Amino acid sequence: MRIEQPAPEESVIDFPGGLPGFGELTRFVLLEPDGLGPIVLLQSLDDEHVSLPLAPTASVHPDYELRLGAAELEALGAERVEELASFAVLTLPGDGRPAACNLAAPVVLNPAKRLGAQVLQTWSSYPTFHQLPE
Amino acid sequence: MLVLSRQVGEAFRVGDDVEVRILGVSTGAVKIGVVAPREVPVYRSELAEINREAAGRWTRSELERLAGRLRGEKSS
Repeated sequence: MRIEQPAPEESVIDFPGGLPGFGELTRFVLLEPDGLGPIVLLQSLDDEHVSLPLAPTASVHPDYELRLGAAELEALGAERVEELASFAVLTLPGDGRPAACNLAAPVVLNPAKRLGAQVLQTWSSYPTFHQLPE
Repeated sequence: MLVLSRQVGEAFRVGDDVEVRILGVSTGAVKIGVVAPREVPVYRSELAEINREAAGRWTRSELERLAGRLRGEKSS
């Protein structure tokens, strides 16, 4: 996917610690393509090939609970977890295996501060591959 | 690959800023503590693989079908 328009600065989400697997990429935008709701795309501004499909955790797990430590909250510029939005990374293998999402390590965004991080839920037994409805 | 042996409670360093300590060993699993500066990301290796697979495999039509299922629509 190619980003045709340079994203306005206010829509850029900074991932100061990057995202596992994507090295030095820290600048992303959240795209909401028509017809894909509730799915959104976390698109790198530095590598057009890096576009990560996400779904709000509430849309894939009605009782999903996000817990963050003090340092994780501080890194996201938040005081309370209620200020944050959490998303599960969607895996669509395309080889007959079912679609799944990663509940163990949600992508967490602070919409007000434009900050993001992928935060492992070490306290939980949430799986990295949670099968989605067929 | 560097291979080294450590007792439980012992540690090693990666550079001056990262310390890795062996906290405990049980059947088939090792508990490890890592002390690193905030700017050094520490994460399980499989997270990187899952993210790369997720970013690399999807197609628009697959995402549309999945989105419909997440909205509770019956697939046609």
